[in-house]
Amino acid sequence: MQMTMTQKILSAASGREAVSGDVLNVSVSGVAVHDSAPLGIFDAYPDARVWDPSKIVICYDHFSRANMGPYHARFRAFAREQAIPPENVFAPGRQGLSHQVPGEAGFVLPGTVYAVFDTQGATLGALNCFAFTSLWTTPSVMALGTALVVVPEVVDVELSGQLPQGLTSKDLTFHLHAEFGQDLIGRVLEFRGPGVASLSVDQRLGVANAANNLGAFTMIFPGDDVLAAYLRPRVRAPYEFVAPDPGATYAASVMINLDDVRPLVSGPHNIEKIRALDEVIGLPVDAAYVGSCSAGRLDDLILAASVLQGRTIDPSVRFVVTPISTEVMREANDRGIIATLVSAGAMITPPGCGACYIGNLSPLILGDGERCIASSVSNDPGRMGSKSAEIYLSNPAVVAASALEGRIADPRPYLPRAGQVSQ
Amino acid sequence: MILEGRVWKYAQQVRATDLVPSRYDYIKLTDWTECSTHVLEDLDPDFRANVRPGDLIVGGHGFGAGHAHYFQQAFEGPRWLGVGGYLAESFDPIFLLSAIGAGMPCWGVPGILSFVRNGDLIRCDFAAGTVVNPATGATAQHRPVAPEVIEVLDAGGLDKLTVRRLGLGVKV
Repeated sequence: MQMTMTQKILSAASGREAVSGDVLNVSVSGVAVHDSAPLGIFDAYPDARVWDPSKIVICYDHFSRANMGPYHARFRAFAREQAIPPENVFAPGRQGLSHQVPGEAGFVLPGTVYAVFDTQGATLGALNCFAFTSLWTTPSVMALGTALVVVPEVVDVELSGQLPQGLTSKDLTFHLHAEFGQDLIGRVLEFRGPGVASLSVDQRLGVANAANNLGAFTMIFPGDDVLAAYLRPRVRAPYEFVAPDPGATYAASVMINLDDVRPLVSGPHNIEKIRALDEVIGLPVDAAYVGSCSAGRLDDLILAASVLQGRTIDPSVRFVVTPISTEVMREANDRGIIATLVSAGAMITPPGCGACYIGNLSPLILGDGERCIASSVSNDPGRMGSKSAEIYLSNPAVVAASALEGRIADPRPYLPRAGQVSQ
Repeated sequence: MILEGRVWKYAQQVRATDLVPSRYDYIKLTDWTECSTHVLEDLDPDFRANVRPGDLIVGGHGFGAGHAHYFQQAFEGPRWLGVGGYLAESFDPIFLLSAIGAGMPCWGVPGILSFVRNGDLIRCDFAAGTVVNPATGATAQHRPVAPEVIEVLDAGGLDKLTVRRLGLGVKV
């Protein structure tokens, strides 16, 4: 049988040929949980053990402050009882998001199945693996090292061209949602084509992050030189990239010329309400946010800083930036990005989930009737505070330009001309 | 695994936030009694007053889709009201696996929307892959539900099955 990447990975992980619609019991190569994850059977049964302590990663991200010590005690005790190595526990000082850090720290290998408790677990599919969200089945997956998967259909997504300057994974995923949404539901998106090479690993992670928003199972990017360079200093074991067979069967095919993607926004109150940026320009904003697992990576921070370089945000806007991980914060600091953002008037928070969700230690809580432009994941009513607040989602350049003007703004006049990127 | 119940048919995609609107957020509260008072509040305001134990919710493609943050309340709230399961043309895959993991019966049955009417009493045999509609005398065939899934549902969810499989000790 000619196989997709999905079929190859699930076949290897189950020992059975993966046919669409089959239920397989697949071995996972690792499980990542965050500080709000359920421990289920581990709370209830003292003799419950994880199947392999070295394969569990714990990330403090929703509550990623050192002053959450008592709250973190639950997972510290869990790690101790389960003999999970201390280096697998990403506590304050090393913290970051549960679907970013396992990749940065080399726990995620191409060709494997990787389970993440968090809703956005598909993010790690950027690393040429089958990464999926295990939600409340996570305790069982940690105990057994296996998960039940219904083998999904696959959509072939061929990319050509290159995203216009200032556009990011955010615009690409909104484009996918708006143009091809019905074709993607329940399926895996497998990317290929010459346009892939133009996307950094940061951008690929941002694209795969949107799987849940699209109703897709997950996304898988191919292996290439860009990914190999990312993985080389990180991975903890040898790996081989997985590639589809020529002639593999796809449920649908999508072709996107990245040159044709335009700036898009989503919202308010509904992720599927996707419009051209031009249609909402000028709407006053009270708050602006760059961060989250969708767009809190180094690429995103660099882009926001390139808009803000030497400028000052509108004093009526509360502008918060949250790096996705400690590694990203350190790198942004070393490159002067943090200084640029702070000079412009941004409040920088410790790495974590930041303002994306009111249930976190959110540094940016929206009041009644306020409007926020954010690069984060979701714009459901109440997501960032008051249920009457409006959340518009966009790429970080739009967020930064809007913070400058105090209203939703086109970043293009502020972007450095090609070849003049100062960071 | 046999499901028998009266159909509440919605001929569109039923999203997680249709089952319980996102303006209610129970992820930390886990108060399913309170949550159950908001089931289908926007899509079908008559539902809560008229639902009976064992009733089945039937929808179109991509049932359960939406931000996974709202998935748990989208099967725990209805289950608290006595809803016996979900059938749909197809499911959001993460929603499907987490609902089954929690012991909530659900499965994709292509053609279900044209096979049942609102209020029909139907009988589903997951292992045999049949849905019988006595009102019309018709039987629809679907791909039988895999034994691995039925095992989870029969056990009352993945946690309970895992405990049994690992022979874990007495609950403290």
